[in-house]
Amino acid sequence: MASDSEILKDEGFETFSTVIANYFEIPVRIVTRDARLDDDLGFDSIGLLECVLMLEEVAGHELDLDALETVRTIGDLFNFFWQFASETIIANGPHDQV
Amino acid sequence: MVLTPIGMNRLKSVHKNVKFGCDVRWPGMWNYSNNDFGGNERAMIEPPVSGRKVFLRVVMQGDYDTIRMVESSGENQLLYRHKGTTPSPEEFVARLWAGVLAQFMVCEKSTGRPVGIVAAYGADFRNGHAHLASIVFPEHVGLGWPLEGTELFIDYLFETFDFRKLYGETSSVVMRTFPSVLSDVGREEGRLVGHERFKGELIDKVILAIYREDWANRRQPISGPSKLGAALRAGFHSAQSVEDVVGEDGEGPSDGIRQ
Repeated sequence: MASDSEILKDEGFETFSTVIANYFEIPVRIVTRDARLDDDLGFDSIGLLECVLMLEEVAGHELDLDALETVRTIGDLFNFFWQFASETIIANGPHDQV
Repeated sequence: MVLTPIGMNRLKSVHKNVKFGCDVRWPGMWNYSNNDFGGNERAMIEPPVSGRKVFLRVVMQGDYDTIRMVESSGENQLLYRHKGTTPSPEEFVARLWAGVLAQFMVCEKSTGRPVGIVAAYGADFRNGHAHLASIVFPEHVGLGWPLEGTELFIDYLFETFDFRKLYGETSSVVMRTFPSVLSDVGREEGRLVGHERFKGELIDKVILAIYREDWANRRQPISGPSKLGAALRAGFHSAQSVEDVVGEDGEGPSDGIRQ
């Protein structure tokens, strides 16, 4: 049975994938956890750079480049995001600077 | 600045522990500076342009072999500066600087290692434009962050010179992976159909222009707040209330989801 945190994270992924799809103008149905950012979703270097900027803003500090190189799929990106989301995006108001 | 012998000695004497205002050290630079400063002497100079993850520094003689290897690796050999030819070392250096206005190595801040090259050439000051070239080293292609070097360089060009626009020449092959680099800011202003031979096929040469005003209004400046982050903040707050997400005690999700 899934724990509350797992359910919360699954729900968080739904919102996350919807925003990603809208932002990058790609169909939400292909924004799955296993979808590769480059090959499956067509992210180019600028798209990846936008993801890095987002993660660093959410984290509130610069991230290690070696760690960022491990972000290959939407699931990887979401897991990275979710580490910090509760303390920044979700806990703060939508207009708060993180 | 001209380095006099006194100035040079002073530079040598302080190199080891001094950090300059930008808080960047240049470990990668040391590998390339021996020929320029003699023996094992090392020098540290403040890089002219510095960003979040990369800085730009001038191209040194010690960079030439690296640049040559990168420009001749894989499809770069066919698509980049030399278009399939293999110039002599002397000719290579001459081409490297032919018509160049400014040229920098893009280096990773944390290590100092070069990750790319940016150059502006063919400057036409009367008409207010120049040509832009950039290349990311093969091992860093597709990572995203090295492109900050190109952004810093375009900022540098528009801030330093009175250009109306910068041209980027590319090909229909490169456009496969290149489009969004310029999709927000670049305008296609020329296309020479079937202009170049590439692996037995004729491909188009495409000329893109970045206008000063378009650049100023681009979607996501690296130095600015993340617009994707703003979209996520808005998305999470329209999807559910804060209490739904973090719980009534405000403690946030349990530790189980934090790594």
